[in-house]
Amino acid sequence: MSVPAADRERLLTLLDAVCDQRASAADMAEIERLVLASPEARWLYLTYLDLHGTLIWDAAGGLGVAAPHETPLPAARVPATRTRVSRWIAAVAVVSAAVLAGVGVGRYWIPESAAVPMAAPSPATTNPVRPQETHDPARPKTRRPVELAAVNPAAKTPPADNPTPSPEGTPPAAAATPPAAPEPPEFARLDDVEKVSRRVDWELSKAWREAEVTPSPRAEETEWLRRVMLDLSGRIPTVVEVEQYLADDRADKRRQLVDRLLDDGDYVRNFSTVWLNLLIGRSPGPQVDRDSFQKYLRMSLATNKPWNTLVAELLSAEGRTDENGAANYLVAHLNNQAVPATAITSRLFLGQQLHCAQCHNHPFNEVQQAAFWELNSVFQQTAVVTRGMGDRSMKGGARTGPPIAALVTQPEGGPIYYETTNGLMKVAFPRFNGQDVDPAPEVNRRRELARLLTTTDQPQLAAAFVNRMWAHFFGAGFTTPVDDMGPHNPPCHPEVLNGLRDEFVRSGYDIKQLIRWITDTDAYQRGSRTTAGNRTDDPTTGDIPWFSRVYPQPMSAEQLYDSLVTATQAHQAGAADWTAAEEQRRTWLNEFVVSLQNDENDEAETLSGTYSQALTLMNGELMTKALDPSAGTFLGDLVRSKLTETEKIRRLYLAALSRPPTAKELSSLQHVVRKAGPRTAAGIYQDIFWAVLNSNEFAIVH
Amino acid sequence: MSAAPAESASPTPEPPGGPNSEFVQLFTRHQRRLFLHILAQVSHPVDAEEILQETNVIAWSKFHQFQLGTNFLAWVAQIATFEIMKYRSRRRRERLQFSEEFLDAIAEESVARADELEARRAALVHCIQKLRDKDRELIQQRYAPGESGKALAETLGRPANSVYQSLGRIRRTLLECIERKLAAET
Repeated sequence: MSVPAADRERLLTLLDAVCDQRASAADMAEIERLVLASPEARWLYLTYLDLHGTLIWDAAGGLGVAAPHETPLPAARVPATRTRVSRWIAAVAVVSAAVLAGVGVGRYWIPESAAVPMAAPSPATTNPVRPQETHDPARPKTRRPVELAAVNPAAKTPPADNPTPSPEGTPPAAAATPPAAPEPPEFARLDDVEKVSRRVDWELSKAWREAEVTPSPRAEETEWLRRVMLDLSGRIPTVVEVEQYLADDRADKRRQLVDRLLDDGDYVRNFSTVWLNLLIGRSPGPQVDRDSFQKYLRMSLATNKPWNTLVAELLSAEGRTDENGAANYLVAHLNNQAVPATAITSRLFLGQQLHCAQCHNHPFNEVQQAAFWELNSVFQQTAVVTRGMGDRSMKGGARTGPPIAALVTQPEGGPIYYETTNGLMKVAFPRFNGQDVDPAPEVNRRRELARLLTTTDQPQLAAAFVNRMWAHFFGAGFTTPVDDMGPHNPPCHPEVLNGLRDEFVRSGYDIKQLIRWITDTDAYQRGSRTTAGNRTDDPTTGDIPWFSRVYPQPMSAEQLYDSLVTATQAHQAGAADWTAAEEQRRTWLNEFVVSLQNDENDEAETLSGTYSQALTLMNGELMTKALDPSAGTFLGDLVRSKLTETEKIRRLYLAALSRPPTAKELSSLQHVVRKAGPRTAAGIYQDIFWAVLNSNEFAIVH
Repeated sequence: MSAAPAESASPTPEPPGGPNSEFVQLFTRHQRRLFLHILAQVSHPVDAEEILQETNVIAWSKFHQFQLGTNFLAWVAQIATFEIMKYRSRRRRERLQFSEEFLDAIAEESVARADELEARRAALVHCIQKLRDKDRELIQQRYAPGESGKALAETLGRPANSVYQSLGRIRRTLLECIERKLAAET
């Protein structure tokens, strides 16, 4: 070491402060100075923190630092592998089960041998064999956001004039097509996204013509950007994102944006929240490990797991809720003889409302009481058991916590019996969506169900998903409500629904591809306002939707919070760190839960019911923080900046509403600012920001 | 433990275009190194782990941009750098931060000399065994999950400063032991 001894000693003292989290700003500045002064000091910094970090990492899983009194374990030949990621890996294990088979990824799989016994004197373990890695020392040195996006170059082929129609792709063109009618598109030369989207366009434009509806004009770019980001990323765009998007002049920039957003972490966060709320609600019981479940969903969405596989994993999950996140779905719903599990599975995944059929045949549709109990009997082998912290506390030292729930399958066989309204006992054998499941005791019914889902075509599973996703983007589905499909409630535009359903099955239940199709449709490009030509297109009146515009939806609680934070950067004020910021978000959202719980079954009602509440909360503590004009917040930095008043007003609008103010708005606000005079300027901008954040335009997805 | 449907009858297909097996192996094998890489830049273990999770999500969704045969750590470290930037901008108001210049230097060296750092782990295992029993116990207690030096001092009923001092002394012993062992091996 050629660091002078005194410097070395000083640096180590400072690094100890960092390791024990008691370093002051002055300490950190001194570390910087020392480290940047010599390569040796830099290496000392790295090796010391590496030592510290290795101790953290290995200890966290009970790996190396076994309890001191524990008997030394026999030698391990398995390479030392991380255990803290075991839960993480478990979530993706299905995707990659074969790959990971040889790698000890968890102390639960290989309970003892995975440990690097730092406390054990066995010589055989002193040299854990690490897989050899080769590192290319050359690497880009920029500390800038790496442009990792732009995956899909989207070879955009314009609809060609070439008149060779693809045999099944072209809908039959009516001979007497009126001149205004759209030409049946020519599909052969289009890429996969356009092929599907143009077909939807063609079906919808036919419907518009028949209904004599004129669709709304194409949405303004700012309006469209805001909507697609709320739909995909769950938040409004930042000022920078608005400006970047407006500066983009590529013809297919909307499609490019969708591709980019689908690759972004916000997409994963947003849709995992959406599905988390649908699958287990916002405040599930204490047995449910919500974090573990969300992690499972995040990984599944990040890898774009096919929808049928995801559902199969949820329905066939086994094991502890903290290790296998997917197990939480059934743990949340197996109470009361699996009646909730039956009703929710049927409603969410098949779009069929069976819960009334629990007790009686449906009065006016074909759903029979038997259907409920047939599905119910699929779950009858399954039980929730709770396990103490047993194995875990032995390793991690004095670790305490609530017992952990786990799903187990018991080898029970035979049918289930239920009582009809006239008192007869009837029998039901396990069936899922019309497909029989072997009732023998040695057959694991849920596993059998998973096999059906992943090996046979499931059009109803696909249709239910398509319908829900369509409603997510358009504000109305092909049926109302979206999860009540069946002969008693026929869909509007069945050609569109069925076409998307078949394509979705064909794509291998590719969720992102379905989103590309929907967001590329002509209808989704249009605005939300009605015009003289489509005033009648309003599903809230009970009429069927024509999708000649995109219907406005109130933001969900999560969208509202995340958008507010995006606009104001409020969480920077007051949240000490990352964890605290997340905690704040959860606390804030929990205030909604009570009111959202009332009618969890009805989506539309759920949101509109809490809308006024949302505003109340917006004027509460969070809003106060959001409007804090101290430095570091959006507002604080804006007020202090040297920008012109016009520019300041413009930025307030871009931040909150993702659009510049209109000329009229601008001039009246300029008037307000001038009247207030420079001394109270900060307060005036605060008032303006408050006003736009509380406007309908802010809190609605339009 | 996983939700694998019918292991024998139905192999769950990989999602269309999902990560291939080599990627998964690289990903799994580099988790610890990546964590250490991040920790060297943010120093708070809980935050470092959160950034690791975020980085993992992004890495998985962008796996198709990774070219097999190139340096995985360098690739994933770029994603981590971006996540660290996002994290830093979130807590911009705090003064307890290193400069970007400093982080650049650290990040670069951490990737370039990853092999050397990795080699030290085996030595660490050896050196922990060489500690006096009392010292090893203290280190074990300090690095138990969720533990911190301060909480440990409270548990032990010792003044915090004296516990910090002991921990610093033991870490230095380990550091020197590792360096001696590596020097002896070469």
